[in-house]
This record gives sequence, structure tokens and C-alpha cells, in this order.
Amino acid sequence: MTVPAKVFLSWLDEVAGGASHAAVCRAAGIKRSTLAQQLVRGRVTMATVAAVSRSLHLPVVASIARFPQYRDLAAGVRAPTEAELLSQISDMDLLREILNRSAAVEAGSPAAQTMLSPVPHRASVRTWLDAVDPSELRQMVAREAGIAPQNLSAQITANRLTPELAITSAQLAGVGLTNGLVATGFLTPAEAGWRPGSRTAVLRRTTNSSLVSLAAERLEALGRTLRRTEQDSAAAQTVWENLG
Amino acid sequence: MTLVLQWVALAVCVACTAWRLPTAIHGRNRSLFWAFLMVAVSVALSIPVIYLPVDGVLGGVNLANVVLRLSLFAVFFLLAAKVAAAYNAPAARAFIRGPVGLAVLIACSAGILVTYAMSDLRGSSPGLSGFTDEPAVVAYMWIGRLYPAYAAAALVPATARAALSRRPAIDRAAAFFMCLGFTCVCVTLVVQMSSNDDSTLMGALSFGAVLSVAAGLVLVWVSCFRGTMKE
Repeated sequence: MTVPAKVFLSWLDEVAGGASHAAVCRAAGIKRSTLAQQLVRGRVTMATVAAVSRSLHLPVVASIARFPQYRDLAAGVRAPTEAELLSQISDMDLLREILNRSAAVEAGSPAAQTMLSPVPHRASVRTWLDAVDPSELRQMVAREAGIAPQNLSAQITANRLTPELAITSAQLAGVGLTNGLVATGFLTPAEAGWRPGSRTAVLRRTTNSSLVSLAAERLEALGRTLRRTEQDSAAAQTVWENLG
Repeated sequence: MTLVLQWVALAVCVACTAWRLPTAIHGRNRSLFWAFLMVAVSVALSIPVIYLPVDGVLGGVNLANVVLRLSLFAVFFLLAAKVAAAYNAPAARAFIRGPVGLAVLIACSAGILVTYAMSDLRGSSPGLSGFTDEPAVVAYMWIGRLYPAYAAAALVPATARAALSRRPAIDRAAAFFMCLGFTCVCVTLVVQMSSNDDSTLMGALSFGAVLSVAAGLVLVWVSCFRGTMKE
């Protein structure tokens, strides 16, 4: 997930107008040694491009699309589907919405608006992939990117996905190319072209039945995750008790 | 080469024993302390400079080698049960602490004593290398490798499974080093059986195994220490 250093430097020269690397790094909040190392290796990460572009108040997607291999990115921006928007609402926010609606029914008053926590949530990558999945998306992504499926699922479990894989997934699923980058936290929803308040709006439109089914699916997945964590920590405890 | 490995292994074992001392005084996993103490004794007795004077005190009839063998048996008996419990392998634990395991241990210990009594071992010789033409000594060496290999073989699957699991990297590394060490112990028996008398290979396997298992346990302690720090 990198761009050639030479191309990066010419872009930097153009947008930062000859500011020193030190000044660029300070403004972008990246370590000078990090940038120096990336330049020496000849490959600059997309995260660096995004950070520099943010510090210069340039649109991140447009900046990334300046690099030849991401030329299609800006053109591929499309509004997220309802499923994608819902996938970026955290489990607890969904539950809060259910409680608000239920309280409103009991009190006979209009439901209080649920304040959504910022993206990304704890399992945002998995929920996004599930939301856009045409079927066997993960296998297709792994094959397309040439990585082992276990490698991909390890990233998803850790709620990570490299920008390249996020873009590939969006391409294969036929959704807006920047939407996966929101799920990974690489872009803010606004940077990816999501309208402000669109998550809240779609949540309000969701019927009670779909909301409850969605929350049930999420809780099921959360239960599995928690069970895994508990098993892992029990296994570690057993080792420490016997050999520690 | 073997001598360097031996001294390094001895230093590591002594350091580990010292490290375990405060924990052992607090009553936590005492058997690990004793296991390391006995490994240290066994490794020390495999070094000629230490073996010769000790055996001299014991009468110069290579009784020190019997001490070495039996203390190794005790190490494997203590450590194997702990490792099996740590990696949640009741089958492995049963293999070592169960009736079969105890029978193998008793048979091997008796075998060591009987074959020792049957052989004429006057004149200290580290590793009994001067007596390899006596059939009773060959049997003695063979039995000496048998029980450790038996106990180690029981632990290879459990530690391998842990090394390949989705535990944190340090815990997997710990399990991997133990698995490697136990595999080396099993290989020593194979080498012994093939009667291919390559003492360099044997030394590398035996002391490599000691170092590898010790490295695994040190990693467990580091992981445990970090874990308790976090809580």
C-alpha cells in the first residue's frame, strides 16, 4: 500500500511548495525518521500521504487519486448503501436506539435521538464486509490480493484492513471505493464523501423489526468474540498457574 | 563445541534455579525449582571437570552417572506433569502420572540400577564413554535415554498445538521452544538406537534441548510477569 517515493516527492513539492521535510512532518504529526525511512526504501505509505494532505487542508481522496495507481479512487466515490451506514453504527448504539424507542412507546412520547459514537467501532471492519458481501467476498479478496485467507481473517479479527485491501473489497463488492476506508478508520466519513448525519438518518428510518434483528446478529457475533477472548485468557492463566 | 554448550546450559540452569528460589520460598510451583536444580546437577555432572572429582568422592565407580540419570528422570517426571497441566493436555498428564507412566518410570529406574550393578565400571569416565563395549553399559545408556524420551514424546503434541494456536506471540514462542526441546530429547533416543556413536550430535541434541526448554520457561515467566503487571 505504497506510492513510489519519486512520485511522492514531486507531489509534495507541488502541494507544500518547497517546505522542508521537517516542517511537513511536524505539521502532519508523523515522525521525521518514519518519512526518511519510507523515502530511503522508495515507498511512501498511503497513511503518510493522507496525513500530509490533512495537514495542508487538501481533500485526502483527491490527493491519493493523484498517484497513478489510485487514479480511479476519486471517480469511484459513491454514497454508502443503507446497509453500509448501519454497519458503521456500534452495537451499543443500536441497543441504545432500541431502548430509546421502547421507552418512547411506554411513555407515549417521540423517541429521543440516539447520539451515535464516532466511527470506527470495535468490529467495524467485519460488519462492513458483512454488509457489502455479495457472497464469498473474503475468498475473492484474498485471491485478488494474493494473500492467504487466514491472513485476511486475522486482520478482520483484529479490526484492521490495509487500505489496499479495503479498496479491493469495495471494488469486488461493487460499492463506493472509499467506503471500506471509513470502516478501517483510514478516512473520516466526511473525507469519504458521506453526508453528515447520514448514519443517524438511516437509523431513524430502520423499522423496529430490522433494528432488533440487526442487534441480535451483532450480539451473537459479540458473544462469539467475547467467548474467544475468555478462552484465550483462561488458556494463558493455566500456563501461568502451572509454570509461572 | 559440546563443552561450550554444556557450560552455557549449566550457567542458564543455575541462573534459572536462582531465579526460581524466591518464588519457591513463597511456595509457588516449587517443583519447577527442584526441576531446575536437578537439571543443573545433571548438566554439571556431564562436564568432565566436575564429574571427575565428584565421582572420586563417590568411590570412582561412576556412581555419579547413576545420580545424573536418576535426577534426569525426576526432572522429566516433575516437569512433564506441569507442562501437561499448563497446556491443558490431560492425556499427556495421564501418560506421565498415570499407571503406565509410573510403570515406565519404575521400570527405567530399576533398569538403570540393575544394568549398573551388572557392569564393571571401575575408573571414572564422564558419560561412560570408556565402557561402550560392555553390553550392560549399552543397555544402561539406552534406558537412560528411554524415560526422558517417553515423557518428552507425551508433551510434543500439546506444546506443538499451543505453538500453533492463536495465543499471543510470546506464549506461542514459549510453547515452540519447549516443543523444540522435547523433540530434541526424542531424537536423542533415535540416535542412541541407531547405534551411530556421534557424541557431538548427541551433545548438541541433549544440551540444545536443555537450553530450548529453559528458554521456553523463561518466556513463560516473562509473559506471566507482564500479565500480572497489567492486572
